[in-house]
Amino acid sequence: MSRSAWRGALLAALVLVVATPARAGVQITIINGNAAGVGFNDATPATPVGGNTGTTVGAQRLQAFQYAAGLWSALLDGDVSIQIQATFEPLDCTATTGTLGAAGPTQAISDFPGAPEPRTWYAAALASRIAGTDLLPGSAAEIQAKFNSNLGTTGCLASAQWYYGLDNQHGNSIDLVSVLLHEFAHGLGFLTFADPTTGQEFQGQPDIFEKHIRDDSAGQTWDAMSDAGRQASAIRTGSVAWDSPRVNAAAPSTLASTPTLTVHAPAAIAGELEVGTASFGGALTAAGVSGNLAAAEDPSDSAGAATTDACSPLTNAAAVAGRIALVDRGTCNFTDKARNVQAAGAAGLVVADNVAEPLFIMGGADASITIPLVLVTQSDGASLRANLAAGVAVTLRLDPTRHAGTDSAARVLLYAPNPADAGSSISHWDSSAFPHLLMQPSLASDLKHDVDLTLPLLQDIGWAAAPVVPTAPRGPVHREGNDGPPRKLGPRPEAP
Amino acid sequence: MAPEASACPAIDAPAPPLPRVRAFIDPATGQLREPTADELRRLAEERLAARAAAAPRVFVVVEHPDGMKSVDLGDAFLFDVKLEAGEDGAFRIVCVPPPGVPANPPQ
Repeated sequence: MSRSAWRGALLAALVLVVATPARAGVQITIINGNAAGVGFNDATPATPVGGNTGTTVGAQRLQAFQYAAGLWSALLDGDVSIQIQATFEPLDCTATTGTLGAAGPTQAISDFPGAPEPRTWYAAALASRIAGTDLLPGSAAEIQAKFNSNLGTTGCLASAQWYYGLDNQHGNSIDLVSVLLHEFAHGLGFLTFADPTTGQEFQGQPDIFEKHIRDDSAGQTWDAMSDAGRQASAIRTGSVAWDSPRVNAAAPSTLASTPTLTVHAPAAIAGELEVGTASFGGALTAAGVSGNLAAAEDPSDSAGAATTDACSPLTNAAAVAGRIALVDRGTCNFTDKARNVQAAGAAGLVVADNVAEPLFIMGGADASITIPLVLVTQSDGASLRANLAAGVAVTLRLDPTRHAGTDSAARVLLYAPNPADAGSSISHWDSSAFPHLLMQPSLASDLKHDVDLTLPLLQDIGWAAAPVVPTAPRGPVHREGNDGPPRKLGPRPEAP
Repeated sequence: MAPEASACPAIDAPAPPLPRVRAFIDPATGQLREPTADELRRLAEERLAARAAAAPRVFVVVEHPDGMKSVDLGDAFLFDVKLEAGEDGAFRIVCVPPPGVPANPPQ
């Protein structure tokens, strides 16, 4: 089923939910916590936009909330009602920084009737779904959400605007529905209550999320580890993965093939190198681009003192033509380097980082650059350069046997930066996953209101998927043209 | 030819307490972009410092007659989404954690 067809089915399911509340699906209700005249009740006139038929600012906000809740409601099965206590209100904000909103579970619950695992915390919404009843009647809603009503006004990030449309055509505005889908997922249980900075479990017992966090190095899941073990695990970038059947099964059809640099010779350094990709340049393919590496040389001038940075037109174009150019990062834009080696006739480009750090995405845009390029780590770059005299034969390609954002066992990686990032660590997918996922720590502009691997993860911790909803397909496994190839480990696009 | 440093400015605003989901908007293209590795590392360090300075939260575990246990989390596990603008006008959105989670010992 195509993406548009799937979305159509999803919308149909959503309409069904609204029209027939007796369906045995999770009912998610938005509780409007605003007083008259403000927030969801703001009567400022507004023009309907992107399928949002509200005619006041408040009505559009509420409709976007209800739409996002409806998307989740249509996807989740269970005879339970989940309440989201929601407000639009003034939140911390200045001209340069501000809180867009916040959401999460209001209660942690364990040892409830029907709990699959004893002494294990569950987010309140999930616990109630499993128990089939509201476990804390009369208490607060299971999820709390509050968003900033002042965004885009004088003194509060004046140039930023919410997009209340439902069609994802948000342009440069902030797509409220995408943010809500992400935030509601945290409220539904996409989080660990354990503290990644200390390794401490919440109130001395594990949560259900922890039981699927696998540390590849330790060969254990988090619930089996000590505080010190979890603390160390939380910063093992690329070694902490989600391990459970549904996500494992869905990953290959969701994530793109992994870009790689295959070194064929000399034998001493032969193998596969992990690479960062670029937001511009030619797309990598499974067949790839092959050739011998050639060190690009350029003059030491005002554009760059180094003669290996390719910040100026090359002085050894004949040696680079038809080969894969090797240059050092630094001084000028990545696009400048690529343009110069392409002008010299290079078939591809390998940029060696000049800092010891994780790989990232090389940023920039230049439609005239058609050769593929990759980034290697500082140490790998040094190794390649040291062996040039022996002849380094390489291929820049996609490895169809591995998927971006997975470990060697094809498990989907969790976000484990070093140093640990308090709440962001572990409670999100790793940034190397590509195409972008809803639950990555940085919101991507190309999210399409898909729930990608989020739904199977929620199923793995105890939610049931609504039977009317087909498996969410993903787009092509890699993107063409200037969108660049799929991401690899440590994918942090950097402006040129 | 712009130098790399200015083309990729460090646009971290003064540390907000404990961010979690973030987005950047490149003013040149108008598109969201992701933070650089350096930006992320610095943010994480700022969050850790802010977190260390936050007062520990106290959670109360309620034990129900049927053996169920519940904890009112308040806003302790709300995942903030922050938007920040840098000196170059670029925005970023960040999903951030609350301060002081869970700092009290097990009960």
